[in-house]
Order: sequence, then C-alpha cells, then structure tokens
Amino acid sequence: MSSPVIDVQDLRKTYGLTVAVDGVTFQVEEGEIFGIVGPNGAGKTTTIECLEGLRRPDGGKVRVLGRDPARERRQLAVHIGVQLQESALPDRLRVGETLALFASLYPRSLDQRELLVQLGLADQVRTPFAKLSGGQKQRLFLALALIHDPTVLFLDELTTGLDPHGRRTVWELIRAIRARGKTILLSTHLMEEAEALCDRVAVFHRGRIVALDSPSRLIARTVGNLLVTLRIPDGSPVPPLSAIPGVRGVEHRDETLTVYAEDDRAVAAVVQRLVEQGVPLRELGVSSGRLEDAYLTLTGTPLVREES
Amino acid sequence: MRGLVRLIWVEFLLQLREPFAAFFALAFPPLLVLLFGSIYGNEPKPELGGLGTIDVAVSGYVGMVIATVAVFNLPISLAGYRERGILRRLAVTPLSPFAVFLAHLVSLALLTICGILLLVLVAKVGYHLRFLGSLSSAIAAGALGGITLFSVGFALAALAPTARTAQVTSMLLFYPMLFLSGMALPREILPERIQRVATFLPATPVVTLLRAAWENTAWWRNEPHALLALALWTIGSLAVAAWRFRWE
Repeated sequence: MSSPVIDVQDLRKTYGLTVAVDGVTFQVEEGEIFGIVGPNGAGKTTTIECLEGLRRPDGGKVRVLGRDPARERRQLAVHIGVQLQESALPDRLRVGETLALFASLYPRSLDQRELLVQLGLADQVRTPFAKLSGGQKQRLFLALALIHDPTVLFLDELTTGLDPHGRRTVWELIRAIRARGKTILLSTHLMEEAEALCDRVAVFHRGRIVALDSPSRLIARTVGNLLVTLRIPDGSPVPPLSAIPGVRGVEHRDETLTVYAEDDRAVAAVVQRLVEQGVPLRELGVSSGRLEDAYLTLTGTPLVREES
Repeated sequence: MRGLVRLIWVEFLLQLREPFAAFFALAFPPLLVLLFGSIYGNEPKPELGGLGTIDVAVSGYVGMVIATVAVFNLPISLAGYRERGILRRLAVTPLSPFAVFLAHLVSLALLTICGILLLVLVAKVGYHLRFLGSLSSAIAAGALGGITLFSVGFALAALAPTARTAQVTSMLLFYPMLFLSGMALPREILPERIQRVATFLPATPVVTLLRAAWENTAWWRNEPHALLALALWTIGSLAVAAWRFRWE
C-alpha cells in the first residue's frame, strides 16, 4: 500500500491562550476528495494552513507528499495548488496579467486561455481585480490554484461567493481534476457541496475531529438513512413515535413533523403508527437522510428524541 | 528567474496605474520645473555660482523624486500587500520572500529612474539645464541617497500595521523633508535654527550630496557629516525593518 498523500498526526496549534487545533489526525489517499466541515473557529483553516506551510504546527506531525510543509514550503509549492480562504490581489492587476504572472512562477503550466474559458473568465481577461464580482474573484483564485497543474489541491471554502450556476461549474471542474488522479482537500460550509463532491468528510468541532467517514455513512450513523416528513395542521394530535425501533429523532416544528429513521422498516413502522392514530397522510414524504442534519447533530445540536 | 522578471514588470505597471503615486513620482517634478522656470527663468546668477535657478532646483527635485518613491510608494504598497493578504498568496508559490522584496525594490528603483530622467529631460529641453559635475559622481550620490531613503521606506512599511497608517506616517515624514531638506526650496533661505533641525531628516544629507555633485564638489571628501548621517539612517532603518517586518 502506498503512503498517503496527506498525513496529519496529532496536529496541535495554539494562538496565545486559544487552542485552535487540538490533536487532529487524518490521512488523505491519492485521488481522493477529502472534505473538512465544521463551524467557524473549529480549526479548519488553521489545519489547512499548516498543510500549506503557512503556519508552523506547535505539535504533531504533518506531511504532504512525504515532505514537511513548514520546512520545505518552496519545494512543495510546485506540487500543491492553493486557494486561500481570504486573499486579494492588487486592485489594478488584470485577470490575464495575474494568470500570466503566476504561470511564470512555475516550471510548468497549463494553457492560460483554456483555463480562463473553463472557469468562465474568458471575457474578463482585461478586467482589473477590483472590478471583478465576488464570484469572478473566487474563480480567478481557483485558476491560480490550478495554473501549474498541481498534484494536490487545497481549497479553503471552495465556492464561497459563487451563485448556484457557478457552484455547479466548479463542482464539475473539481470532479474532472480528480478524474485525472489529483488529490483534493477542501473545506466548505455547504453540506450539499460536501455530499456532492467528497469521498470522505471530517467534521471539525472545537479543534478536534468529531467524525470522519463517507457522507452516506456519516448520515446513516448519526441521523439515519431516511427522513419522513409530514404536514400536520395546527392542533392535531401527534402520536408518540420516538419509541419505535429505528427512529433516531422526531421534530415537530410549525406544522411539519420530521422523523429521522434508520431504515425502511422503521419508516414502515412510523407510517403504520400514523395510520393507526388516524393522522392523514396526504402530505407524507420520504427522502434520503441529509448530511446537514448529521453535521448539526455532530457539532452540538443533537436530534430531539421527545416531541414537544 | 522568469517569474522574478515578470513580477518586477507587473509591479512597475501597477505603480504607473496608481494615479496618486504616478503623479508625484513622474509628473509633479517636471511641473515644478515648468512653473518656477516660467517665473524665474534659468539665467546664470553670480550668487548661485554661475548656475540658474532651475539648475540649482533640479538637484533638489531629484532628491524629491527619490524621497517620494521611497517614503510614499514603497511603504504604502508593501503595507497594502501585507494587509490584503497578497504576500500570503505569493508565499504559497515557489517564489522566495526575498524575491518578492527584490521585485518591489527593483520596480520602484525603475520608477525613480524614470522620474529623474523625465525631470532632467524637461529641464534640459525647457530651460537648457546646466550640469557642471561629473555624471558618475551624480549617479553615485543618487544611488547612495536612494539606498538610504528606500531603507527608511522599508522601516516605515515594517512599522505601519496597515496601508492607511503607512500613508499617514509617510506624510508626517515627507512634508517636513519636502520643505526643510532643500528639495522644494533651497535650504539657504531657511532660518539658521530650522536648518539645524533639518539635519536630522533623512533627506537632508541626500540633497546635500546631490547639490555637491551638481556643483562639481568632491562630496566623498568634503561632506563627511552627510555621509555619516546617510550611513546611520541606513543602518538604523534596516535594523528596524529586519526587527519589525512581518509578512502578515
């Protein structure tokens, strides 16, 4: 078995009295899309910046492609592509000039024109940075991360500021890049994004990893595979459901009843109970469990077991 | 190397695109020549050692170009790069921090040279600029002055937390130098006491050397005080810059 592309062992980083990363361990294999999710301040960006060589860990071991990023940042820079969470370029630097500049910094680079077309920036070649929209800036930073065709990509908040179309375009691009054998580590606030892209997701909370698995297994483990929703008019009685085997949680908010269920059997039992109690099923829906719910559960908002 | 050259060129272009910076480095000094030339002309005057008003003023204006770029353009752009995270973005490329520094320095030196050439050209064409000294002595004086004032600029960039504070500290340093160091007005017209205060400004010895070079004086022999002041400013500023400069 080959060694992992990214290897993080017991990473620790403290700023003054604040513990930003408190013993994080994970590996990312070649060709994987690995997601980091978590609330603000959970240590996501600090972890990524330690991998990029921008910060020196206080403890633990970090290796990217077998190298120590803190000590071999420049040697590593050729092989890694980086999109920082917060960054800017000189206001009057134009898109085309920016890309040409960054291409010149590497021994090898992709076709600039093609990359701009792929990212939908072909019409902005002469536009200065300050005149770009938030989404265009974000796509330009992605282009800069990709220009030298790196082996490993670090994308901190990949699609922040992008509209739904832009997001879909970027997702396609990320999948295409992975199909060429690249390894991608990304952080995101959008669970939809993590679910759509990532092979595995690490959930960060208060500087630690509270769960690490594929999106589907994270969902199955924490909130169950299936979600039953039902509209219940105000004042109608709701039968107790949380005691049914396989029911992970029940929520009754406004006029909507939500039941988190492990499997088909649990759903069937829920439906049966509802029918027995004479609850009309006109607006019953069954869908897949959502990563968003799993995430909220794992980061401090557990499912309600007893309906109010 | 290819990357460094391109970065220098890009930095140079960006300086030209910054209207404020480009105006004071390139356009303002020639405009002063045209303004004062139209008022006083450039006839040789015995009290100026056979030089005209413009001849004498130009040596001060050369100092002004150097000081403008060193004290305004350099700290404001460098502090802005740091504040906005541009240096961080460059830090994750194969470029070394030193190369980023060097690119800033070389592009600003290019801007300074352009400003001086433009100034001399306008004075030459408009008012038949006289120059009694040797070119090599003038270039050496300018280079020494440049090294000193650029070091001061780096120190300012290191001390200023943001581009805005850099702008304020630059002004606080620049305007006294402009009027007291002999850049905009000859120092001789100032009261004795003010002249003494002016010796503590970093641009004063720079102008002293440039003036001396213009008048064909061997400044390396005759101006030991100015040379000492330049050396102290350079060493002190570089020490401050090395001690306080942060990339982010």
